[in-house]
Amino acid sequence: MKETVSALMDGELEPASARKAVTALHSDESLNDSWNTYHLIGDALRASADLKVDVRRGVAARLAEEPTVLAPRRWLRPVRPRTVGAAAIAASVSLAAVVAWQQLSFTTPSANLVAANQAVPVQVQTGAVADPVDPYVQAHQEMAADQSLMAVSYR
Amino acid sequence: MKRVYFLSGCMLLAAAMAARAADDDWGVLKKSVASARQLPLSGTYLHQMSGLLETFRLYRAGDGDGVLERRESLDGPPREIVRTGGDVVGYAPDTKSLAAARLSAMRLFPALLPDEIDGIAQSYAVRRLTGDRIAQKDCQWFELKPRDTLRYGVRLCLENATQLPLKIMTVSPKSDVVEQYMFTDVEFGAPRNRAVLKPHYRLSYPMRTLATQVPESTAADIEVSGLPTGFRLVRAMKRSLPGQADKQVRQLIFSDGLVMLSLFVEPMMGDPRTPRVSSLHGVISTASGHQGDMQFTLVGDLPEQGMSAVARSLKISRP
Repeated sequence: MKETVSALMDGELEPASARKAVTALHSDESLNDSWNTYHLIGDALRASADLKVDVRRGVAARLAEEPTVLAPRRWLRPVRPRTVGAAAIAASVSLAAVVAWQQLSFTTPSANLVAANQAVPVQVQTGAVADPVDPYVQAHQEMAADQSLMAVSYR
Repeated sequence: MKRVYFLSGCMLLAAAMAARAADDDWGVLKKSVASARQLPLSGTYLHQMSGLLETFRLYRAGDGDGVLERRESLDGPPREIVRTGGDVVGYAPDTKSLAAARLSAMRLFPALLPDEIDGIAQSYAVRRLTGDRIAQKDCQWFELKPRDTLRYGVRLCLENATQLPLKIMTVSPKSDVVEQYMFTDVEFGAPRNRAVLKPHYRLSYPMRTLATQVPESTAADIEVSGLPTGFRLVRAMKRSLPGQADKQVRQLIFSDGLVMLSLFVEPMMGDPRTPRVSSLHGVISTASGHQGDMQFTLVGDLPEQGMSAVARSLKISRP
């Protein structure tokens, strides 16, 4: 029968025999395989550009065997290799928080003062620092803390 | 002509409205003074000065002279400051922390303005600024702006319902914030657990009482002029300095209604001291110098430039 297929390919069959051969090809799978194989051989011999490896059946079979995975995807991978990166991010976030706090804590209700307030008070640092246990400062504070002084002076 | 009448009428109306707004603002500030002293609350606040940031927890119950409040530091040396009416006592576990408590007791946020603010208007103008939100509460900014450039200004954000100051900033003439206090959280009402009002530490130091025992003598035998406008003599005395019991100095205390300025006068000892100006945390400044056979020291809550200007313009004389 394979000779018939080969003859059919070469166009050597009578129309009636050819019709019979085509019907046989449709019904017999092994003949159909042979038909494909002969064409492949023919293409190979002619070094045809259309030469193709038939992987369809193989791929379809492997796909059918593959189990369907229904488990959810793991978003969190084991953490060890990423710890250093995370620490760096945490550090930069906390730095941002500190900077933001510093900026925010100096914001003022009056817009024309914002620029001035971003600078740390300078005249304080350039001046000499008074001694908190200086007897004069202490004597002043003892009296300044006395609210009754204020009340007496303006009543 | 009609237009001129109309314009001048508008201006008069605007001026009247501005004056009335200022009166209202002074009224709001007066309410805030009472709230700052007496409103029962529990809260946490930040205190920031140049190079210093500290946190306190504050509890307050009672009202009027029966106010009982306790604040404790949450960082730095452990210390507590307990106020019963006008009596303030510092508590700490050791002497070093007790010294820190003395410093912390100088200014008891949120009660930073004096009890009586009527005399302030001569030296400061009040101004209403924008609204803000602090410690999850809505508040309104007010500014006490000095009428000259020798003093600090004060900005307060007053909570809308109670007028409690939620944030107070001391602002230099250059608009630098030199000191600020701010609640980070605050709950109104007396704390349910009365134990939070009791001190925990062993050592105590009485800071001040409203009835100060310093001998009073307002008859000053020296005359002082050249102080910035608004400063008036509130007390004059002869006293010994802390830790120097043998040395007698004259102390004259002046106030502009918001801050106090002490002038110490003593006979010159040895060589005249070189004039110098210094500041403590950028808020309290001192200046010293000499006039004739007297040497003087100024201490007060003025900016350094203001203090050195006062030291230059000051005239001390014996009548």
